[in-house]
Amino acid sequence: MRETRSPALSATADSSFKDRLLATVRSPVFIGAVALGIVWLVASGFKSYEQFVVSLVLLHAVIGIGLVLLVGVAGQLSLGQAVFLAVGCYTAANLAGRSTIGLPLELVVAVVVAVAVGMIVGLPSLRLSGLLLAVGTLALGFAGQQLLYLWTPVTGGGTGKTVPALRMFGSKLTLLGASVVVLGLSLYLVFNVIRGRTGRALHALRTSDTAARSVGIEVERRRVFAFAMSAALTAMGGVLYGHAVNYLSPDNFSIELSIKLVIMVIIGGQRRLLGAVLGAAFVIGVPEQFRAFQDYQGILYGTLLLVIIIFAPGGIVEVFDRTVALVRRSVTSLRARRVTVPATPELLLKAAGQGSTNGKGNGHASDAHVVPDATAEIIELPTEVETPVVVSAPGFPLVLDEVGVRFGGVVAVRDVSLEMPAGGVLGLIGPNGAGKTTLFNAICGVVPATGRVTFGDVELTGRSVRKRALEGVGRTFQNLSLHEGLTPVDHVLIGRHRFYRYNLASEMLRLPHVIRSEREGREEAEALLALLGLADVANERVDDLPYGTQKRVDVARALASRPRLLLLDEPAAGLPHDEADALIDHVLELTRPQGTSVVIIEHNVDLVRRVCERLVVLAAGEVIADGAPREILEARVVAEAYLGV
Amino acid sequence: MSSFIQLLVSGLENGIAYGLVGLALVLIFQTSRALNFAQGTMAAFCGYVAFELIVTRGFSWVIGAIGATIVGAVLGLGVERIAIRPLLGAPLLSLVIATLAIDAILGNVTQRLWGADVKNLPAPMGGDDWNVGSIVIGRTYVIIAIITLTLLALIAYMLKHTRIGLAMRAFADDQFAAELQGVKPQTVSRTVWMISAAIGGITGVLFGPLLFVQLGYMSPIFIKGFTAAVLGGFVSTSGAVLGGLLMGVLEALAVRYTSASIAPMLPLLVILVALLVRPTGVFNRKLATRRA
Repeated sequence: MRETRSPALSATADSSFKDRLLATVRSPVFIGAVALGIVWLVASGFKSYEQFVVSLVLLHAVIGIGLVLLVGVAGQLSLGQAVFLAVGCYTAANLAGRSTIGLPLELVVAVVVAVAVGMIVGLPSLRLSGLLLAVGTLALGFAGQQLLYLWTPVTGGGTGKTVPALRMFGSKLTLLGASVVVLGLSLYLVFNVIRGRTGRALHALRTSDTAARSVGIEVERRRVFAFAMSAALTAMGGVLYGHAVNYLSPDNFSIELSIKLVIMVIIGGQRRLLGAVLGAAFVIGVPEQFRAFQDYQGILYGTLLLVIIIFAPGGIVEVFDRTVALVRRSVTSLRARRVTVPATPELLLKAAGQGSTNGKGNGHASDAHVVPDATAEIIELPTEVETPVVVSAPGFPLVLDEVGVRFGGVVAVRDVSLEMPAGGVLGLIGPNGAGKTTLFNAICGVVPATGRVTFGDVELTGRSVRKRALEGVGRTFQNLSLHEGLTPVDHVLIGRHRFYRYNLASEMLRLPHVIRSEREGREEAEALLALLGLADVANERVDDLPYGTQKRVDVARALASRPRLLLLDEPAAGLPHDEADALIDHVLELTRPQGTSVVIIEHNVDLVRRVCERLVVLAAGEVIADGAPREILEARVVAEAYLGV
Repeated sequence: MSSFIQLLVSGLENGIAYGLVGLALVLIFQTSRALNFAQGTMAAFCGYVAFELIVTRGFSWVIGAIGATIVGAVLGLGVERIAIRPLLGAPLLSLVIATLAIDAILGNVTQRLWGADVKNLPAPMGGDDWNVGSIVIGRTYVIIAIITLTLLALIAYMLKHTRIGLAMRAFADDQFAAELQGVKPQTVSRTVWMISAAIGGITGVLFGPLLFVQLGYMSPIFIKGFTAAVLGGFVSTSGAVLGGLLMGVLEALAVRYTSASIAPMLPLLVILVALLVRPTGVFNRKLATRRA
């Protein structure tokens, strides 16, 4: 059919086909699948011992990706992971040979048991963090091992238990094949979770718990999920491990083993799935290589650990990334040299032509096309069905009734009562330490407060930060509370967390509606970023951005949650006046049509005079003045509070 | 009744060891923001040094103990320089990995130098028991208790009344602010590692005779010392020692009143419950893990 097309058409068809092919080939899923396939093929030709070692690496990688999710992404350290490994191992030992289904059944049972235990272990994680969580899981790991000694019917106690051979539907299975398939499957599922909204939520809660809650992320549920998921993966690795070692003793499932598993992901690279694989290769492969130096294994292994952690804190994957970048750079520079050497006028012209079309294409996309579309899309929000609240009402009044906050003996906010009509812009000013931010925190539920806060006909008093966020309370932070290591796009996607409707199962499988929803989210995010002048830096790490830009990212995150009440905490501080003006104007442009009420804490008097309909002055936790900006700014009490005259 | 008191006494005896390890861990955690997983191995190394000096070279017990403690201090300085200094300010996990690396290296070195056999390190004053009524108190333990109390007093004095102590407290409270006031992080880190490694050295020497010096003989003590520090909320040195004593008593009670197979599990479960009820430490009100 292609021959019948005109040359031009077939060229474009070809190029789009080529693009799609290239995109597929370059996608991590494809590369991963091919790499695993190659490993399988190559390792199949190995002698049985080498094949066994490769299988060990692969099954440890399964455990590793669970820990990447838990430690690297969710930021929860577990030193009790050996328990889940034991769950897998003993499931295999007790189930193998009982049913003809074999491996799949063992995996399913192991996952179910591990998830149940993982949830139980995950619950303490809600109360503990950092060091104490590490100790708590350590204690559980220790207790778990003792339980293995006691539970003789299942574990054989101190004498141990043998594991029958690996079988599936009656036929024998190689450990290598089973490991490749299980690893491939786990990588795919977890990769989908990490790039979906769950992964973003976990990244968000690791880097800033309060900010995560304030956009409506279910911090507790996600934490428990991370525990359960990593438990499931560790148990799957455990099933394979059981078949690999054939014989199990409770001695195996020690704290040392749990620590080794954590070393594995840290050394490999805790934030990346590839890191889990590299880490597994390290903890299994390195001692294997040092076999000849048996007597000095500890010294060699320890030295290697030290060198990696000091010179590549991100793990081996960092070394890997640097090498890839280096190779890429040298390849491009080589190519560039090849192009410039025979530089003829024609070639130069061609190059320039290409450059300019590219430039035009980009310019067209960002200036003329996307931006108006974006504005249109966002301003037309009321017609969108997925946020019915916006449709039903143009806005709600905020009522504070004798709101008070005390820290020990210090009264930060004293019985503040305030009524704010829907859709207004209110300025909250006052000297440093007046309690402005604390009042915001009281409205958001970050600090416990007395009195009542109602928004529309919804009583916010006593509700969690997340529940208030779901009622439409959005905010920015004085200290920004950005998510370190993530990009502005990520921040906006985190901001619109509550608008994703897909469930966990479809997220794991990345069903078409998930892909669609993710794509829409990304487009919307890019449009919002473009509107706030962040298009150029949309994919940079926020920690590398200048302060003013970070500030806008914070605002973008809050806007993305489409708040009906937006609390801006010193949005202009540290920005040049014109930039601050532009930022606030953009914000109001976006929020006004939605009837969003806006409260601004700000020291920039010109700015508040220009945009606020009303000013409230707070001093020493009390409202000392309330009225139209012009009167307020001239009032004697205000001058006294500010200047002390 | 007297058997119960005997139980408490032997619990307290073990508890001191846990407390000493916990104390060293707390000092390091408060200033370096590191968890020293090599503490047990470092202490064991010093036990071997004491064996070398006392048994092999024939020095007196006191000289051997002092020698081992000095070696411990030097070891602390070395570890700090090699593994900790380059990672000052790094996340907790990186520092943990670094100390685990030191643990692997040092364990290997110990094994190369002294082999895998069990060594008999003599106890101070012959290691006899004292009988108080029907209660037996190990003489070694009394000496250990005296040394521990002296150490605690010395550390308390240092923290309260010396320049470096003040620097350490400032550093523990707010690293950044302390640096602005001219406290050098390197100095604090070096001092703390030296002190806690020396404490480890003393622990290794004192408990060598009781546990028998062999590979990894301090590891179980390490784990329990760790939990002792947790019971103390990981903020105070005396809290860690109290935590250690509590831990020791709990353990003794568990061994006596439950079956031997459940006993090792119970103290850790108690700690777990304690953590859940009071995540900030049993004896403390302040939160320990600000940036952990």
